[in-house]
Amino acid sequence: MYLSKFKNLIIIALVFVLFPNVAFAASLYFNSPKTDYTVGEQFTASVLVDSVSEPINAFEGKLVFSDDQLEVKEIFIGNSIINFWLDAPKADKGEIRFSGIVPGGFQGDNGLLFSAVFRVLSTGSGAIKFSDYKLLLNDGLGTMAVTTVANLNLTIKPLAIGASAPDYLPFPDGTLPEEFTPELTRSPEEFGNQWFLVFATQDKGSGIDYYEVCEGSQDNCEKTDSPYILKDQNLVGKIFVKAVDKRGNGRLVVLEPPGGLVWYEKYQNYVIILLVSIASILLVLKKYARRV
Amino acid sequence: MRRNDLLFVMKKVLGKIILFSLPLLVISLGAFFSYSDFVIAASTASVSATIKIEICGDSVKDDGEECDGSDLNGQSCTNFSGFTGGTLSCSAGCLFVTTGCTTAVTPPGGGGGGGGGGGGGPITPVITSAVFVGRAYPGSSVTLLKDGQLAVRTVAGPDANFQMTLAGLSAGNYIFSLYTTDSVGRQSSALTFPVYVTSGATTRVSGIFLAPTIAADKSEVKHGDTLSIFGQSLPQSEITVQVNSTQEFFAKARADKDGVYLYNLDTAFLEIGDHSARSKSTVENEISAYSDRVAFKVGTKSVNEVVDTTYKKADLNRDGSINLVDFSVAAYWYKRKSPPTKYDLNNDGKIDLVDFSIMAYYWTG
Repeated sequence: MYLSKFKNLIIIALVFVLFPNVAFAASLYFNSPKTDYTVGEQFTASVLVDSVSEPINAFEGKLVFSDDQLEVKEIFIGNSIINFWLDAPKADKGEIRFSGIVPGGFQGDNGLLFSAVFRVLSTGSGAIKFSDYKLLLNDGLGTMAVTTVANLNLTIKPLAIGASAPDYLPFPDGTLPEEFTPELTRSPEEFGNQWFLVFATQDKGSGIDYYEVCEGSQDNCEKTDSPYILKDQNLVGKIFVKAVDKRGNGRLVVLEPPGGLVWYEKYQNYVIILLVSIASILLVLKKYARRV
Repeated sequence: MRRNDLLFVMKKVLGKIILFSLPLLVISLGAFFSYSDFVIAASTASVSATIKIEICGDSVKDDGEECDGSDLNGQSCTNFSGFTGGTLSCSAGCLFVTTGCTTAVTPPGGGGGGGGGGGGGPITPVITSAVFVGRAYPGSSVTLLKDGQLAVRTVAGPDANFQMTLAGLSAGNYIFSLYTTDSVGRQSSALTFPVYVTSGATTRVSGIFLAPTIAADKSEVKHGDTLSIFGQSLPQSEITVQVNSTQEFFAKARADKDGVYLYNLDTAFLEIGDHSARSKSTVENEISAYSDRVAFKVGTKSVNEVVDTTYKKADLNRDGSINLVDFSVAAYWYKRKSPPTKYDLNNDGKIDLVDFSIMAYYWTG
């Protein structure tokens, strides 16, 4: 911890001496309840950013850790300052990659990017480190911000004989994702002028887990991302877009089809069928009655 | 104390001295190597626009509220004309409610029997909302983005004041952005800020002072000629134009009754080369955010103003807005092979984070 801070100070010192006109620096760091854990214990590490002098509008990086020592149980993006993810944080072989943007930029401190729940697997000294990180200024040029990082160093002890690892209380979330309006659009310049849907919303609890688009009926759904190129380019039938958070709370939006409903979705058709059926039966009965 | 212990303590003390003296050393070196314009920039950087965030519903009366829950600011029914008693209450919007107040007039014919006790009051639905109050330009269109998406659009009054309410929010962190458009369609820089919205309360964001718009009549000006820098802001406000050159300087202008301002810059004082300018507005000790920068060149000839093509380029589907549609189609090609060149906003041959950062800067929602 001491060395890490010292290293950051040296980096800042060099930046100020070499680039005297650079009066700002952003920092990436962790918020974790403690640094000493026992095997089997679970803890949450939140990834935070400070950028008090200049707004940052694009973030990219990865967290690197030993997957023999730490296992990622869950990742939460609820309440993140990042509005649109390019790579929503995802764990893969000792890494969590992330990238996304904040239109207009974030300027302030303690800006939450995401939180990850880790389970401790083995003893020893460990660390969760920032790697390949890039923070870009909101200046219309994508200028890289001078960034310092503070890694999370851990000390992991064996579990005492007869003891059990402290319980982890799962993050509760009973709220639905925010209301949203998917946009159905097309352009001669995009996807060969095919109709496509764009959608995005936020979940202020556990964060959005996935989106589902269903064409025609809710039995015909597909997990997808925005943009979604519609299979039915005639736009016949309703379109259902569902945003689901990490705790399974879903917000469903139904789009009325610009191309009209399919025949079985129009109740008038059932009335006509019923009337025709009654008329046919009456006609048959009448004919039968005459014969008799 | 053993020799090893002494050495250990000395090492630790020395380490601390280095740790604490290093920032001072850095600042001293920075000041020594820096140019004078850096010092000016640093001193002006401390002057910044501020907004005020108040929460209606937290039972603490803030400046912009008449009351808040049980906090009636020491007021009672008797403070309101025509009432002699009763119960003063506070609405969900933090305004006084006098419907429970009474007068001392005795009903003719004596009092009748008291009415039965009422049941429980109506259940008030939990409303989580935010109110935005501020100043733009007279009659200008003001846009509010919630987490990067269009939430509300309104028109500022003739006095340039505006107010907008956003309901149906969840408790949590939001990024709000506000910008306005002047009388000729130029867009101001966006004022973007994070706000934590409290459940069941109205968060009031006041003191919003949107930045002026800015433009110049030439993209290149002949050395010694005049460059006109103009835009719109709050009527009668003082405009500070900051010209970024080797020697940075500030000039003043005043907006007219419609908020329009003009500053004629004598380029005889500027060096040949690239420069930029931005402006901010001041009124009654309140300072707006800074405008975007307008770039210009001082050279050997004058060239009329050209439109910012990067903005147009970021509008990938050419619908006049830079929003989720543009982000989505660009994100589709992110990390894919052979993307169309039009998504490469900085012309570096790839679609990467820089292109998305440029898009985020020009974002309109």
